[in-house]
Amino acid sequence: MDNKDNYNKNIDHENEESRLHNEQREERQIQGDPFEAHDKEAHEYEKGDMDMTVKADIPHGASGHGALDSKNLPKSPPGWKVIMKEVIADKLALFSLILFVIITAYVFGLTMFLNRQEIVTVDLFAINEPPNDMFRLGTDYGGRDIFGQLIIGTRNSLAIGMLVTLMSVGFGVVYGVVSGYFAGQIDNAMMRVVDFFMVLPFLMIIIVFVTISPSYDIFSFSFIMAAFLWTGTARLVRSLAMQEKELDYINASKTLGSSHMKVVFTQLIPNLVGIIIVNGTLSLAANIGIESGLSFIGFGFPEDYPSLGTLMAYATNSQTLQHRPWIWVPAAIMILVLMLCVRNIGEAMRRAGDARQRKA
Amino acid sequence: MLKFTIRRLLITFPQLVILSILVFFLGSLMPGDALSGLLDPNIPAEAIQAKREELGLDNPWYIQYRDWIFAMFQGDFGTSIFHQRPVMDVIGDRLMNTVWLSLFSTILIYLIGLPLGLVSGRYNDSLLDNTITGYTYLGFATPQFIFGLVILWLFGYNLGWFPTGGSVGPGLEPGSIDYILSKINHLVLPSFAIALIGLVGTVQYLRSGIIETKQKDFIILARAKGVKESSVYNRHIFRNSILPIAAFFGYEIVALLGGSIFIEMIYSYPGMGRLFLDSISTRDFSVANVLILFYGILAILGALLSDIILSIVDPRIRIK
Repeated sequence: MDNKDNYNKNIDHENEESRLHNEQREERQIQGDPFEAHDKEAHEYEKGDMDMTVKADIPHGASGHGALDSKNLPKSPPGWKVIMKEVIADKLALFSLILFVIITAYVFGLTMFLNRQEIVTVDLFAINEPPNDMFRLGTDYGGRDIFGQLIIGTRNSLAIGMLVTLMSVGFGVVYGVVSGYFAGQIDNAMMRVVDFFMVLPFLMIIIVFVTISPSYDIFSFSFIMAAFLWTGTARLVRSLAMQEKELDYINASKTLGSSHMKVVFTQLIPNLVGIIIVNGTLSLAANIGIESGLSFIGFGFPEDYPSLGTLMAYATNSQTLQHRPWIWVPAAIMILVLMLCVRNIGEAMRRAGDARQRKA
Repeated sequence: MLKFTIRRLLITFPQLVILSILVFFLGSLMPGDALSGLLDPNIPAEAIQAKREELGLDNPWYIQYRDWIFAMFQGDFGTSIFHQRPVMDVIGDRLMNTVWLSLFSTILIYLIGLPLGLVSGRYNDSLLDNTITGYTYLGFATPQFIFGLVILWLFGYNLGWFPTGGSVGPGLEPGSIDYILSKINHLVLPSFAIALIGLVGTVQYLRSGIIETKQKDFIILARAKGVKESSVYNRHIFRNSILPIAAFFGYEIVALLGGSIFIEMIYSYPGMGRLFLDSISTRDFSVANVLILFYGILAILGALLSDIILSIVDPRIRIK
């Protein structure tokens, strides 16, 4: 008990400290006339004849080689271009990308014409039928069309995977950048929180939340999942932000008087976008797996909102597993194909971030 | 070393406290309390109220939390509403099964994973290495439950080599040779299903570690001194590449215990993961709650173990 109080006090103390720190900073900004003047000067310099100043500084003749001429400097291609080039150069990744786009377009397109209500309605005259003319992939124990469920299930799994990825990566990025950028005590406290989240038995806690959650829909399910899956991104982004903030352009921007908000959101995060996309892609694969796992053990989507995991769950019945493979094999293959595709794309993107490993 | 360990232990303590508070609140969010499972609808409301006050169920949360913690230190983890037995007894029945399963899987992971990683790193970019790397690539993308189902379908049902569920055959005397053999027989499929997916990380770490180490100067020196090639790999390189794997040992165990939920469900193996799922679906939250606390403590201790091992094998960590 004593120790807990101490710990809380520590946290309070840290908050106090950061508050003081902020106050000092504000004070500086209020008195900051000299900064303002400096700011204006700098802007003028920026707008003004950059080329002339540069030229004036270098000895005659040197400019002839074009060595320091800002216009002749080779421009490094933007991050997403490098990534796309790498993905296209890697045949497997390109194939995966095309396949993934086709599957996504197909299921999202087709679900607009499928009637979910009709598909999930129990039809007692068509129980456990193997694939035939009427039901392309057969039916389950409730006489429901497997093909329709597979299409809707793929869409639901993809949609929830993307939603969870957006939420968890979004939060993780902001958390990680803030922690890495401010460093020191703030970083210390924020990372302890991450450490704690990482040792939680998150699967069990998600199951409990899903069970006791009063309003249960796609959004709250994704939110519960995302609440426990942001820590990996936060850790990665934090370590990158720590390296990035030491670079000159951040220091220059701070010297020019940019606010922390501006530095973090318009300068640090845009420069980490490549890594964030890679991380998001790889977590998308993991999230599709986790969602289907949760649905598989019965704590994800209910049967009338099928996901790939709910289709797999039919296989826990030993009769279905043994004698009715048409119910669960397509879903299993679909999960594998999706995860492999997304991983292949992610791995190619990751290589793009590391010049030594690039193939293109 | 000692300083690092003590500092690391100091972090562990608040983690345990926060975990217990979290689990406590999770418990109070769950419907039902210690009394609701025992109630007869004919008991008058005043009597219920009196009993509630006697049990301290209307106290403010911090007093309830304190009582809860004290009770646990005295070995009282509450009563299971569904089983009508102390929670500890219910869990105790299942505990050893999960321990055996995790032990078997861990042994298999290192028994299969280390040689694969060694071979793959030693002969990198050969056909053998490409096969192993291809397998790890597939293994990373395969969710454990799908792999478990396929293994069960193939070896359990189609080939019929191993039993498809349970932890021991019926009608065997506990302690007899047949009983032990039957237990092992029941463990084969689930532990292989866990291990064959669980080992991909180990193989990849070891492979990249070996490829990195074998270019180092001390290996060239060892060769120049005339050390046998097998000994270069099995002693010099292997020992230096195994550090990260040794350091992740604690996390590995925790991941195994957590991941066994799926496998225990598929193989209807009576372990703690299955008990957790059962207790959630029967709304037996007192058991579920203790299990979460148990797994949480285990994870915290696993992380602690990993960090301490890491600080032993890699002195650079201690400076931080």
